[in-house]
Amino acid sequence: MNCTTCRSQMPLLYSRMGDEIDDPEFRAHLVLCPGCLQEWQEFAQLGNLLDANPEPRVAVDLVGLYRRAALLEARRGRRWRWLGMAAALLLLLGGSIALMARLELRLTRHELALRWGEPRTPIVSAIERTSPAAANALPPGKREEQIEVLSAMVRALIQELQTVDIRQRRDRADMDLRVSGLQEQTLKRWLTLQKDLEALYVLTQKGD
Amino acid sequence: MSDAELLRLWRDGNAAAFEALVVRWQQPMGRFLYRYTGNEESVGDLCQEVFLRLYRAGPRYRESGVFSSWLYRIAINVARDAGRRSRRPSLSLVNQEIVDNAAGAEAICQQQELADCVADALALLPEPLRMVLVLRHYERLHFEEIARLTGTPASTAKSRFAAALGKLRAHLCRSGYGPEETTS
Repeated sequence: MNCTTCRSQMPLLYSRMGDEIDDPEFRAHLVLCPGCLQEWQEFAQLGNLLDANPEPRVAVDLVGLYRRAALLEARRGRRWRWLGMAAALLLLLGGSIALMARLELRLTRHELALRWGEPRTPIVSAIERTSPAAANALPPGKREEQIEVLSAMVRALIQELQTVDIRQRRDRADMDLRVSGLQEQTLKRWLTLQKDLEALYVLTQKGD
Repeated sequence: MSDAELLRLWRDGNAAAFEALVVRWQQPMGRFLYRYTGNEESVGDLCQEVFLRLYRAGPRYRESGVFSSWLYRIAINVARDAGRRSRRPSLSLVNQEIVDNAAGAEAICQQQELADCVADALALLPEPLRMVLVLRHYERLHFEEIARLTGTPASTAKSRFAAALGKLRAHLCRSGYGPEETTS
């Protein structure tokens, strides 16, 4: 063993101080090398120096320890309780929001409605759909097309009305003709009857 | 009765077992915390905190581990937390009571100075080196146990121990407390 190896081993051998050094090679080197022996003795003295630093006396206050442990346990319990309450409140809030999003409650003068499901889409009334505002809301091309359709419908309606009017006039003229023919026939029959009655009267007078 | 048996008894509801554990380990914990932090004033509080954590974590202790390692791990965490809170370097104690009251005033002063110097030298070591030195020299833990506690390989713990000794020697020599001076 050379001095470098010997000195490198000293801290570890020193750490086993108190036990018998069981390294014969190391011990043999110390016998032969005064420098390493002095180094080793310095290590031994270093141990004494370290031990010269006395240790304080310590006594754990068990009553204080139990009291503090109880206090900490109580604090932990309170903390968990608060956390639980906060979690419950959050859950309640979240649930309420979710519920309100799907639950519809409507109360009017004559109606109480409770509805569950997806939120209703607003119904656009007929008035709203045909209102000028709604018409103006249409794109220009669509609006003109609708105007064309409406114009054609109006023209067709006028034509139909004219046809009906002509037919009604013709029917009325026919009926007038028939009424005047019937009047003539009635007058002729009345004159014939009058003549017959006069002739009968004459005959009756002659027979008396 | 072993630590594990006492712990088992305590977990079974025997408060006296916990008190026995405290009595058994309060001085080693105080010693370790004092050497590790270098602050005597806070040792009592830190020790109290260690046993408080032990008391609260007791039911979670796994039988597979060694109780002492677990306790040292708690103590290291407590000391580190305290160090983070205080954010100031640990200092050596000044008013350390010297054990040998029968010695003369001069001897007492010399011993006081020596104790201060050693405490200063310990406090000046980087934290990883100081931890390994304290655990090995004062607490007599094996390097394997130290490695488990520090989360490093045993070889790293050994090299840190050697480095700590080297730095300590250098500091003590600079302060006039080198081995040569003490022998003369």
